[in-house]
Amino acid sequence: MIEPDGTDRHAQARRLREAWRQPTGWRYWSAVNNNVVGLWYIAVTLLFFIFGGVLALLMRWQLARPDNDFLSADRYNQIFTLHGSVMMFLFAIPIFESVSILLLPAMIGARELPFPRISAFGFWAFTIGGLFLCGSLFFDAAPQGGWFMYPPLTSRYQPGIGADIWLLGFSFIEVSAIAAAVELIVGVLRCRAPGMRLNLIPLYAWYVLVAGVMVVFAFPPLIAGTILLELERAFGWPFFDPAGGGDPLLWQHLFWIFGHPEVYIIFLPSVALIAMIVPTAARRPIVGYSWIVLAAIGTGFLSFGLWVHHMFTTGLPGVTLAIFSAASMAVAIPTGIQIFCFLATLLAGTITRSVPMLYIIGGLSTFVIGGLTGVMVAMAPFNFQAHDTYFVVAHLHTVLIAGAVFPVVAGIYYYYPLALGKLLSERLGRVSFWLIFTGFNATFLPMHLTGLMGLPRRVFTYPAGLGLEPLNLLSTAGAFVLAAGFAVMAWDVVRPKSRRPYAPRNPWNAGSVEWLQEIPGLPWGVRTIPFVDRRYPLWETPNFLRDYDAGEFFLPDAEEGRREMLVTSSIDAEPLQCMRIPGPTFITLFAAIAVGGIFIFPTFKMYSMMGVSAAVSLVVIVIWLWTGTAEIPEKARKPIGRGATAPLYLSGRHAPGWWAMGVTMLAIFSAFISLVFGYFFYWTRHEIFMPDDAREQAVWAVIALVATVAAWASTLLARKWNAADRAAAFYAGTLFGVVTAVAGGAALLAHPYFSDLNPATTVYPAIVWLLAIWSALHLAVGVIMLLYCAARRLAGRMTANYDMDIVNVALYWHFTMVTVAITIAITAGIPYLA
Amino acid sequence: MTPARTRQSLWVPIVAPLVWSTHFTVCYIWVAMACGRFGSFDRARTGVAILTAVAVAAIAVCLVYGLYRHGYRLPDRPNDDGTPEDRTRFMAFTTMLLAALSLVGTLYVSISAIAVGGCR
Repeated sequence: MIEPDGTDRHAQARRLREAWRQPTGWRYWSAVNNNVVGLWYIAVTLLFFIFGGVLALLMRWQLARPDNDFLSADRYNQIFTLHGSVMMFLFAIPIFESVSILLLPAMIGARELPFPRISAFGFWAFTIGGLFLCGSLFFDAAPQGGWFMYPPLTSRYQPGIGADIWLLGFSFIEVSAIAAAVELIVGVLRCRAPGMRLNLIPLYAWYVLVAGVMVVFAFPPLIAGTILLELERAFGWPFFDPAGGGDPLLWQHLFWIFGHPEVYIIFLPSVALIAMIVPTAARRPIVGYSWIVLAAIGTGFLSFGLWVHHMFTTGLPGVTLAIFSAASMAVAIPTGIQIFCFLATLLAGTITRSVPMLYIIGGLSTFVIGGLTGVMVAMAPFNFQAHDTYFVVAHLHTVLIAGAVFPVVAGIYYYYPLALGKLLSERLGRVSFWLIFTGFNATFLPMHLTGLMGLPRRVFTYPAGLGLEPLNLLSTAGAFVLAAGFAVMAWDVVRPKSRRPYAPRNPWNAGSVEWLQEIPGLPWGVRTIPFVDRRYPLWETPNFLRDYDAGEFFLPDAEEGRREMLVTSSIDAEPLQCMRIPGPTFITLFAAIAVGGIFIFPTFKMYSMMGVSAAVSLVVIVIWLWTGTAEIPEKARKPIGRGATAPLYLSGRHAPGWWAMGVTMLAIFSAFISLVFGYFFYWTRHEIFMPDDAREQAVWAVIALVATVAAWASTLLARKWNAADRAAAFYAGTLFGVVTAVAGGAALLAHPYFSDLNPATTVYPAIVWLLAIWSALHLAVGVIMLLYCAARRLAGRMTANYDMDIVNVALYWHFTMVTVAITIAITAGIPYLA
Repeated sequence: MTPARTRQSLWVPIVAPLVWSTHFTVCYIWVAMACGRFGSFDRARTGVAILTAVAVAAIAVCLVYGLYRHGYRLPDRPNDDGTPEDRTRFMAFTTMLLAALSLVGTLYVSISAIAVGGCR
């Protein structure tokens, strides 16, 4: 097809297809495309869901009758711990991230996510970590401390490796979750189709943005808590041991600062699917778009003020309970608002019946019940009664399954044609829905009653004669009906469909951007990156599909045979850069294996192998960065279509890499602040916290501060001198930065060392050492980064104009400076206040 | 290029929720310290009252600013067009809604200091 201006559209499409071609044969596993990695990720997540589900069935079989001996108490403990942990960490969180990796680019009209290799790395890390955790059950070594792993049970009374497997394995998985969150946040803010201003973003993207930011702030406290608990288990640093001045309650705080937002991190992306499906079913735009955005952001904030409602029975002051109870009530407001918006949309439109809508209506109605029992347990007096009973089990499963699993199933039915080209069976969909809906309610409604009758959670059996038998038997029967429903759905998803015809394009007659894609999909994601000026362009923008198919929009070609996408501004989505993204590689798999070693070897106390893994990880990651990032293009700008041009390289605060560095550092900084919280927690709770001679040796702290300021200033000057093309000054600056950073790190460690603080004695030396080591590690990484920048410039891979490396490193150093300053203020300054 | 009068920062809508978070955190820490270290509920209560007054004032500023950006008109005027004006109106309206929610959240927290009569 030759256009009047001489453009050959077919040749364009051919070049584009070649650039985005998937690897075949054994190299298939080197793919990094979001539409391949997203599918792998979802598949593995669903396998873990099945594993967690089978564990649930084993528990229900054990509880079917009183005094049952199907499972031993020990085995039961392992199973309920793994069930909760697997469902939370290996299903609920990753299903959000995997579905988003698969669908988000399509929804925002992008070709890909900004860092495809990070997605692939996250997938491999998740898979390795998940297999490690689940595998432990088959060696009778699985954790037994419940999904929230409270010490002192998990610190003093479980000497096996189960708790270590949990702590280290999930830390590894959390790293991959944070990596995916960084990718999704930057994707929503910087990679939207041109024209897609903030008021036009698909609601799914809003929810993903909020949930991603929540991951960045919620997961690090758990990582911090995990570090504390593992240090206590491995080296006897008494963070949670009252005999050494520690306090088990700190774990509960850190766990639930993560754990409660986690519930909303799971819930919001599922609501996001509802927000995409409901307008399609109602045949009209969503009612109250701004109100739903309010609900998403408002829930994101408020959910961080609820964590103590999991700790109402720990003896905190009544007024503290009241503060958290109040916030727990307040979060019902935004949650309710979005549900009313969905109902209003359905009322204002004409509902078309479909399997996805069946799941959504079933899910929403049940979720409201779970929400109401949530308000009940948010009231402290009722909570005292219901705490640790089956009432809580019933509540949490009702909100999580109805609020998260039902919408995900609806999403699978709705988006299956987009991902795999075929429609799922309407008939099997209805059968699975009614089995799941009936089974779900038969399982969990009786648990409210058994809970009110006093049946405690996590006890492997119960005596006869308390009236619990029929309700428990009903729950068990319901669980198997529920499982049968999922089995029908699973069969529908995996059964061979080669004889079924492909679904028509946009099979649901939706209005949102993702449905412009061809069915079956092509590896390029979108043929051309559309210009979007409406919320539902397929309904509202004339000739939208025709222009798209004709290649009229942006980046219709891959002239240089490279994978390219557009970077746009965060508020108005104005094109800023034509970004080249890397293609298939195995290095992400190697990196995941190497980083996995850092977490897996210490489980078995193999610390030297952990060191080797750390060294190998460093090498692999440097090779990854060296070969795959900050590439200097052969020309400064290129045409991107529609008469516009854009630069091929972008450095500074508009660049996706800069944002990714900033968001990652925010996550690391939140983990640090959690440790600082720990320090002040001990300080406020103990009359005697620090030793009398804590002020001695402060000179080392002063040296550390001065040296770090020098290193930070040198980095900033090196950035400036690089931009001014003053090579000698740049190298001198980086070298001075390296020397002063090393000196600063040494002085940071010298401070507790020469103060004769032994971290295995009491909690003060332990927390001071930990803060010092944390900051020194920051400086060590900063040194590696500076040396990397110097090497890049020496190799001609970084120049005055193409300076992304040093600009991002400077951002890292800002965070390092603040971290070191806070550490010194606390470890050397607080003793002067006390 | 976007006209200057419709420029807006990504941060403006979330100032009010950030005020709520700060108020919440400081109230929590203050109450823990007043009840734990000083053993004085009166101090806890006075602190919460002062913090709430400051937070409500700050949130009111956000609310008024949102109203100003929205053209001093309360109803949800349409904001679904791909124009800078609609985007501004959307962000202004979101600012107002988040400020209202933050106000409710902040007042809820302060109620606890009124309704509960002591540290235990």
